[in-house]
Amino acid sequence: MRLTIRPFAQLQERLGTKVLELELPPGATVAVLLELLVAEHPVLAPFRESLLLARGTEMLEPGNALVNNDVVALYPPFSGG
Amino acid sequence: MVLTPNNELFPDAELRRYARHLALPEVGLEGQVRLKAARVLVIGMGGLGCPAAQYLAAAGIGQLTLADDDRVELTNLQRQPLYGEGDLGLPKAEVASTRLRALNSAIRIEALVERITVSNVMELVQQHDLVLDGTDSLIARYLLADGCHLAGVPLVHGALRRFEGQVALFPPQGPCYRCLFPRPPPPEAIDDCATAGVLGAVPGLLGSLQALEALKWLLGIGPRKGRLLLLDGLAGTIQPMALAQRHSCPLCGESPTISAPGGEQAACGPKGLAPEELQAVLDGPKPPLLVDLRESWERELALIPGEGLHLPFSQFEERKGELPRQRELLLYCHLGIRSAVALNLLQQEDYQTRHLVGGINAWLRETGQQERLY
Repeated sequence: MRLTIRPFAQLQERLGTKVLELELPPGATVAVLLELLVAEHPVLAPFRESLLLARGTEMLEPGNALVNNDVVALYPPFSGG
Repeated sequence: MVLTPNNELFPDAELRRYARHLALPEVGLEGQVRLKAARVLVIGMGGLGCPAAQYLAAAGIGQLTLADDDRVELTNLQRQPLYGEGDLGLPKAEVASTRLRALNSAIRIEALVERITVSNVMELVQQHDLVLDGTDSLIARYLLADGCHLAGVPLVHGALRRFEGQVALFPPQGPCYRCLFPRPPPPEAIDDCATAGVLGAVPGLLGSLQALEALKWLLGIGPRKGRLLLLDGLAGTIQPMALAQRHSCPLCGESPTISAPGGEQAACGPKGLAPEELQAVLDGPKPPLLVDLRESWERELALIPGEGLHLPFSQFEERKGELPRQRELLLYCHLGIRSAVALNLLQQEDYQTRHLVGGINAWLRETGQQERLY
């Protein structure tokens, strides 16, 4: 199945893009997506345990199953105040 | 004079002041009494804390504690208009308290010129009904989020980067900040307002949103569940997101691993030198060689005196072989971010090295040279 990934803030700068396309086995979970993303894009490795993943306005957990054509947003924590 | 439901007196002038609140069916006199009885802690009186505290004071929060150990700097004025040119060098918490007392003399405002630490966070948080996070470091944010959840105090979080921002309400029962972001990224992956930049109106908007979320919570109106608002200031959009408790959350999940606030306090690590220790180390029997990782233009603004060399971070990879191995190195930069990255690279190659936590800015503050901060 095909997923669209939308990184935000410094993740966009690290990846050099605002959108990524990714091929995943059917029924893959959010945890699998994260593993694959970090493997393909090592610049994301420092954020492995620091990311909020969301599908639309729904916050995702590692165990959630993904479906074909899902659009998943990646948000890092912000420090600025 | 009007007798309020808990038998306290609201003088006429106070009632007139809050007339626009009293006109709201969701607030009314009962709501105003609730606000007067509330104790709110604002941690960090910067871009977020200033507007948030202004609206909280104006709204009649009975007890407001404003905590910040920083002093007003020229670079703050672009986004912290509560302060003025005449306040440069003065403690933010004290200046803000004076301004807000002038705005509303009927409430209690306490200034706390202190940094939030592992040892004071629980006590501070427990003395309040709600905490508003306006800090500017991830370490402080995690510390505060842990403290609030463990103490059962609601937290209104706010944070930003460039044009983007996050505001969240974390109710006492969860979800918590770690449900969103379980652990902080390493220091070298983080940037702040000083390095990333920020347009002043963005924190103004976020801090006001935080005040709104705080007031609604205290009034018992609006959504009561954990919520996140994502601001894209450039696009001009705010996207709400319902938050869910993460089963694997290290703080409030099914098998939590964090039972005291500040699990990540060690982020500076044993290889970090605190700015207050610097002079003693340089005066010691074996002073380290200072390695300035900043660019040439930054060296024009401020320098740490002592034996050292200049190796700009932009040339670090190709020139790091020039560094001596037989002597301890002390890396420093502007804020301690570039030096943390360089430290990691050198440690893989067995150099004897430490880095200055917080960079030259932290050292300038420590040594009373605020006017040289940049």
